[in-house]
Amino acid sequence: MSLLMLSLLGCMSMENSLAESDAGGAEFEPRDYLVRLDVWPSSSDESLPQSFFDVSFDSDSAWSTTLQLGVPVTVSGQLTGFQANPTAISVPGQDGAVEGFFQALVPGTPMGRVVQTDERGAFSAQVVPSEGYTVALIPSTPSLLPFLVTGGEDLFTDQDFSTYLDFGLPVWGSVTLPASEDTGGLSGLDQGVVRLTHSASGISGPERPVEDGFYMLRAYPGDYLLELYDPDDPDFPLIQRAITVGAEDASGLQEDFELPEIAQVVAQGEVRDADSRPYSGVEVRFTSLSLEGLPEGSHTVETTTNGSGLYIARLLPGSYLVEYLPPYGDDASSAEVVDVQVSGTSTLPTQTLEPLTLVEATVSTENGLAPGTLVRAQEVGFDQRVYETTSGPDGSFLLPVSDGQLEWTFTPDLGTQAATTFKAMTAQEMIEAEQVLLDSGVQLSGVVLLEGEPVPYSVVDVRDAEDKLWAQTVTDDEGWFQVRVSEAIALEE
Amino acid sequence: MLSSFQPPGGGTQTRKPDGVGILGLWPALCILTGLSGCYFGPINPIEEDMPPVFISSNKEPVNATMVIEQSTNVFVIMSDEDPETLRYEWVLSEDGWVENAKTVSPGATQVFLEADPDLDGQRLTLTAIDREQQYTSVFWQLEVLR
Repeated sequence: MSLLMLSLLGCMSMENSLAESDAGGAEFEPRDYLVRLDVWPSSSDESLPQSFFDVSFDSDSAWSTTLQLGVPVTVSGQLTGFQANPTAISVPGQDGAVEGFFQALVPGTPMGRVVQTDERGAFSAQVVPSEGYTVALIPSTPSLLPFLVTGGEDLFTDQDFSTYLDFGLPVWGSVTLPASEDTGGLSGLDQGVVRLTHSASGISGPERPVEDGFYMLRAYPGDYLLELYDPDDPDFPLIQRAITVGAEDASGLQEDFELPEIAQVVAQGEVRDADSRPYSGVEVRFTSLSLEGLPEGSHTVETTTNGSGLYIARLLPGSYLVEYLPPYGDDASSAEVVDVQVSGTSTLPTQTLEPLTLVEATVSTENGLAPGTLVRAQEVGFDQRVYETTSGPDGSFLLPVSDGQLEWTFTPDLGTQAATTFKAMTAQEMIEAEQVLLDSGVQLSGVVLLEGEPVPYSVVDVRDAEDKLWAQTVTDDEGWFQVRVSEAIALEE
Repeated sequence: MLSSFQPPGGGTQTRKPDGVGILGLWPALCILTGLSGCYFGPINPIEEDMPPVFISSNKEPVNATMVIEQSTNVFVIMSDEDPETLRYEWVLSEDGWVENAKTVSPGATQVFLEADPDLDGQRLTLTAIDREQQYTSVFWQLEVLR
């Protein structure tokens, strides 16, 4: 018996006409649907993940598309900057190499690279040719230099991104706490770090320490999130503040933090299984919804139940979402309690974790049952756990799943004339529905090539303009793929 | 035109049990020697289940270091006589099970890794297990860039 590969690699009729498509868009008729296709080549193809935007295909499957992977281009350069006083105050500053990172990404796509410079500040990276790159040059912590983020860069040829980072503009301020009751007044915080995160791209710059109640960062004009936290102290909250650094103000931006007394309280409780036995090894996660006296603060604390099913956590006073996550693989559902108020020592009600709910339902199409359908249920909250099975010869499936909202995905066997179908339902709602009718969908097929050669075993994601995933498939040994996509994805012209 | 999939190296991956080859001499020996109890019917070797075979990954090479520059998907494609029954187990050496692992299609599996400094130094192992509990594993030693 010969060894058979994936079910998707069966004989596929590819007598359709071909039309060229590239990363810049497709140029063929008819145009009924527009999708984005993300291709994840295997590394052996010496190519990089890339997106093909506005790929069109028609409703009667008259066309296939050719996805020609772009040969990566090289971006390189050297990062330099002004070092204020490399050795001592009495020594003047000087220009020099800056160690750090070069990052290039097309937002919302798999196209992106991050590389570290060498000690001379030199960097080189291969990226997929495309327009719309966001490029960042980020000095390593604890540099006092700003980080630079630019958007809308077109990278179609090798380019030199050598950059000189000047001092930018200062972002500075005090961080104070109430002093002791005896002395009154304020005392300077002497722990933690501050960091800026570029609002549009989510790219973060280097950390700078908070020392003697004072911090100093440097930034180029733009919108940022100013973050204060302590990576070495899990009890310290994360404080975030949106700021705008204006180009016109040479004196920079002063942002002071006046923190309340960070006094911790204790939350404790017990977790039991469905038979009322102590449940050990359960992860109990507290996520703040609001913190008393810290409107800009947030705090997440995790602890685990001991052999007696007991847990204890040190928290800041406030309101919390409490999640109970049983060990992965156990027959128990995750659970959550919203808006738990914690102030002073609090003993929370005993939490019982119920067994997973066994869902039984049948998958079918307009033409009959759908055996061999991959059934997936993923938690919307908690740890996004995935539960999977395959429907049997009669189209039915049995799947134990967690309570709470679930994202259901039904991926039919390739021989079934149906599209990957999505449902947002709880376990109980799926049990009551009993039947899942797969969308008939429309067929999308094509071939992935690199310099004219087929690219086998590449994963192809079908997404809409909002980045939602609608279907996945894998190219066969000759680079072809074929998948049916729900008509709901259609962005009809 | 498409062809059906052939594994790397071509041919079949099902091998005969040891000693099957010399059994073909047995009928001739029977005829020549007239031994009683000789059986002249066809010999049907019992096919042995083979473990899943690693085909490819977007994070090759496997069994090597994987540098995590930024949050990323990891895909692995395996083949087996019966790919619909393959079960995949993704495990991190310190964190344990990777709970968001998904089956892309019967021969393909995927996990999403955050660029989390806690992953640095951990080993990510994928084990593909078939219906007969034959299995194949690949791993990566994780290195988080920032």
